[in-house]
Amino acid sequence: MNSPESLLQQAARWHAIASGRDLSAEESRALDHWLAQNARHRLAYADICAAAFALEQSPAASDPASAVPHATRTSRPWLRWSLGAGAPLLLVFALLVGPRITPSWQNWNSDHYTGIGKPQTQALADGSVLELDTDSAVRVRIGSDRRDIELLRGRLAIAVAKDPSRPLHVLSGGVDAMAVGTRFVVDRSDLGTEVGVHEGIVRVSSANGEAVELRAGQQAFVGTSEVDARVGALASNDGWTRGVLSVEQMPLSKVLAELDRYLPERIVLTDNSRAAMPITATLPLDDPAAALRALAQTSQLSLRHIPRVAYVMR
Amino acid sequence: MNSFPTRTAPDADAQAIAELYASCYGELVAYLRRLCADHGQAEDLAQEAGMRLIAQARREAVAKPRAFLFHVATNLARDQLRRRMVSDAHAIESDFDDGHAPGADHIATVHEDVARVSAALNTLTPRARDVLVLARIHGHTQKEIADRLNLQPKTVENHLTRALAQLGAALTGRRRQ
Repeated sequence: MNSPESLLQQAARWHAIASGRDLSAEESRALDHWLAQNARHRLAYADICAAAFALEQSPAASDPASAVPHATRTSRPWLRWSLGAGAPLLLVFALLVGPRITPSWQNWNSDHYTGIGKPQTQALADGSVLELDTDSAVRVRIGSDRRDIELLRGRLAIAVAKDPSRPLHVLSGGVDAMAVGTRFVVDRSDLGTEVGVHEGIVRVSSANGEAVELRAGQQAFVGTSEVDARVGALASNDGWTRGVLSVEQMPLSKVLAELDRYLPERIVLTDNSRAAMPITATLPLDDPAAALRALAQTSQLSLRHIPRVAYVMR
Repeated sequence: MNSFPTRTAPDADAQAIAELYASCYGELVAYLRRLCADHGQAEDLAQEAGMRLIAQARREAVAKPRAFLFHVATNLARDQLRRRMVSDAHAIESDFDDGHAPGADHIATVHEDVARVSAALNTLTPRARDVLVLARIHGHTQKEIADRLNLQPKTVENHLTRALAQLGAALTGRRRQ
C-alpha cells in the first residue's frame, strides 16, 4: 500500500470525490487527516492536482471532436456530400467574433457538432443531408408539420429533401430562413444574420420585422438591433463546401477571419493598416496553417506561430 | 459583417489577468494552505504564482489563465514539499524526483506538464477519458456523469480515480527508471 502508485491512486480518489462539488466538512477533515499522515501523501495529492490543472490547459481535452457522446445517442451513418438529384441546397453561415471559447455547453445541447478543422456530413431522418463546417453545432427537430434546424454556431449546408407538407426552417439567432425548394446561404455574426439566395426563393423573417422574399442573386442583412432586412446584391461564398476558400479582392482581414475558423489558434493581425489589403486567392481549407503561410508569403507579411495560442501576422 | 475579430491590446490582457488573479486569490490561498499546511507559505506561493502569471501574460496570451495560475502554484508547492522531504533524513533517497528540479523554469514546466498529460490522455480507455473530461473540463459531479453515461456512481468514481492516477503518473516518475 505504500508504493508511489497506490499513493497516487489514493490521492486521485480524493480528487475524484471532490470533483464538481465541495467536500463536506467531514470529508474535508478526513482529507486533511490523510494529508497530514505523511509528506508523501501531500506530494502525491499535489501531483494529482498538477495533473488536473495541466489537463484543463490541454487542447486535446477540450477538443469538441473528441467530446463525450450521450449514452443514448444512436449513431447514424455519415454520408458523403452529394448534390445529386437536384436537391435544393441550403447554406447557413455563422461568424462569431471575439476570443474563441470552447462552447462545450452548446455541444451538449446540440444534436450534431464538429471540432475545429473537422467538417462532417450526415443524413437526417427526413432524408435531407446536413454538412457541418468547422467548429459548428446544430439542433435538429423533424416534426410532422415542419422541420427546424437551429444553428447554434458555425456554418452548415443542407441539401433539403423535398416535402411541401413540412417546410424546412433554418433558425439563426432571431432570423428564420424558410426553404421553398431552393439554395441559399445564411451567415451569422455578432452583428446580425445575412441571407444570400443562389437559386429559387427564400422567405426571411425576424422576430418583429416584416418578412421579405428574396430571389436568386439577392441577399439581405438583419442586424441584431434591427427589425427590417436590408436587401442588396448577392456576395456570399460557398467554396467551403468544396474544401477551398476562394476569394476575389477580399480584404485581408476578412480572409484571415475565414481561416481563423479552421485553426485552434487565433489569428492576430498586428498591423491594422494592412487589414484592407485586397486578396485574390484560392486557399486549401484542409491545411489552413499552410494556407496562412502562403498568404503571409504572398502578402509579404511575417508570420509567427505561438503553438496552441495564436498566429501573429505583422 | 465578417469583421475581423478585434483583439485586446496586451496591456488590456494583463489588466484582465490581474483582475482574475485578484478574484481567485482567496481560493488559491485556501487551496495552497491545504496542500502545504502552512498559512504563511500558502500566501507566499500564491503571490509568487500570481507574479509569474502576470509576467507570462505580458509576454504572450495565456489561454487558460486560471488553470495556469493554479498549476504554477501547485508546482511551487510541489517544489516546497520535495525540499521538505529531502531535508528529512528518512526520505533522503529522493525517489520522488519527477525531473523538475526545484527552482526550474516554471513556465517551461507547466508547458511540459500539459504536453505529458495531453499524451497520457491517449492512453486512457475511451470510457475513462469521457468520465475525466466530463468531470475536469466540464465540471460535472460524479452523479451527473453517472446519469449521463448510464453508469453506477461508484463506477464513475473508479474511472475518474484511475484516470487521474494515470495522468499523475505521467507527470511524475518518468526519469526515475
